[in-house]
Amino acid sequence: MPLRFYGSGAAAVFAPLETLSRSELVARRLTDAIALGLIPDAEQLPGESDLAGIFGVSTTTIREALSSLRLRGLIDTRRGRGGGSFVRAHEEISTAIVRDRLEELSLAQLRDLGDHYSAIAGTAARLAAERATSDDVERLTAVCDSLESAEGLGGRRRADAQFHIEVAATAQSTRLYRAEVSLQAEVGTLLWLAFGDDESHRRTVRSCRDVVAAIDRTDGEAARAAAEERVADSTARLIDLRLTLEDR
Amino acid sequence: MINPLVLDAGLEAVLEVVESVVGDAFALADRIGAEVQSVFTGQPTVRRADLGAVVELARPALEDPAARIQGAGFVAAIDALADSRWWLEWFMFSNGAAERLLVDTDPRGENFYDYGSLPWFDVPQRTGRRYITGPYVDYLCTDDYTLTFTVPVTVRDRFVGVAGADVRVFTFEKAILPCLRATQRKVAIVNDQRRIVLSNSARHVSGTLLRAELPSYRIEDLPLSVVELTS
Repeated sequence: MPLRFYGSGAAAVFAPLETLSRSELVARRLTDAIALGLIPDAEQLPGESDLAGIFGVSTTTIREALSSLRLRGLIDTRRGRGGGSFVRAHEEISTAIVRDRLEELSLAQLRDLGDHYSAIAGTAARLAAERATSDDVERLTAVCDSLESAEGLGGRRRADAQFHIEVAATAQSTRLYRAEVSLQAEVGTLLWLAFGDDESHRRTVRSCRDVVAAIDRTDGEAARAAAEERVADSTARLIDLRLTLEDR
Repeated sequence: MINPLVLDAGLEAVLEVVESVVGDAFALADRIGAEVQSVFTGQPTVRRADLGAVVELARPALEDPAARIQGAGFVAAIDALADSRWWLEWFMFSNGAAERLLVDTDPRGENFYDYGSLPWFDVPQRTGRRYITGPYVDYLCTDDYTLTFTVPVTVRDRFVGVAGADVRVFTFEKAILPCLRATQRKVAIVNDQRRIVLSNSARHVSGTLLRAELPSYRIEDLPLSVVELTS
């Protein structure tokens, strides 16, 4: 299978898939990519065999996934010369996806997801503070800057994921880095679709700056606290949102 | 003033193995660099397709069962190639064979990454000298804990990119730990940031920074030193 430069680092969207029905997961990743604006409206998707290569699944699985996207009105498929699958993005997709995803999760599961993420993000930040050189701090600051100037849901989610991956890499831990990539895939997209507004973006940037400031002071406990606080805040906001789904 | 480290036969043996592993990686990087240089010297504009010789040099090294190389190739300076602003002509050992690394050259693409400021590219560009990056979590290529050996490639004083090779920290450790253990001394190999690449002490594990001033010996011309640990 071909290897991709910045393959896992790109996190979420085109990461290899492991569990559950493969076609459902492929459909989910493509839906996320469309909702986040990573694949713009009217853009042609890669061919079935290319997609099969990217996701590491069979073309049959890709065909099933595309058919479910078609049913949900997310793509159009045209036959013949110049044919293929074309994206049909629309405004309500994000809201619908967040509702679907959150409805699948209980409050206890959301709390548990937050606990897991907190363990990974908190430890990565503490180790990063102990193990960062001034070059590392400079790079983390640059990633914060690009997060601050990132525009659009897709751009912001990507910069945010890159920040967290960079912290785990600064911790010098391959395992924490891989855990961060898979958590970004699981929860990163959901968070940005639910809270992608400008005010949330500003909060995210502030909390990333706090983590970097603590890493710069080699203050492991403060770095951990800042990272954990951010996860706790996001988890509480997701639980609040999940509760509103009971009101209908 | 800290005393320099006094070498004995055991440490000389360590240096010999380190220089052999590092030497192999740089020798491959140099071969690729020389080939790329001759391509650039021979024609006014160079395109991606003109770099076909890189894989011919990388493949035997990657597929040699005794080799310790995980990845190798050439990374172009921005705008050095006529048909792509960014480009990695890079190959990795995967599933028993040399595989090309796929590169997203569209800056808006999900898999695009501007490597211009990363140490394995930037340091040889700025200093004009070879460099060892790492140990670091390489999330761009190997997806593993890695050492990257790069040399600058210049054509008539113009920097056109870096040629290089990756060695996994796992492989480096496997090659060097036996003789490090045999020294009967507590020693670490550190990089220029004083980050430990490998040591024979559980109190000084790889990836951590050595903050204390300790007797050390800098390996000639390399950003690596051997340090005597006191605890």
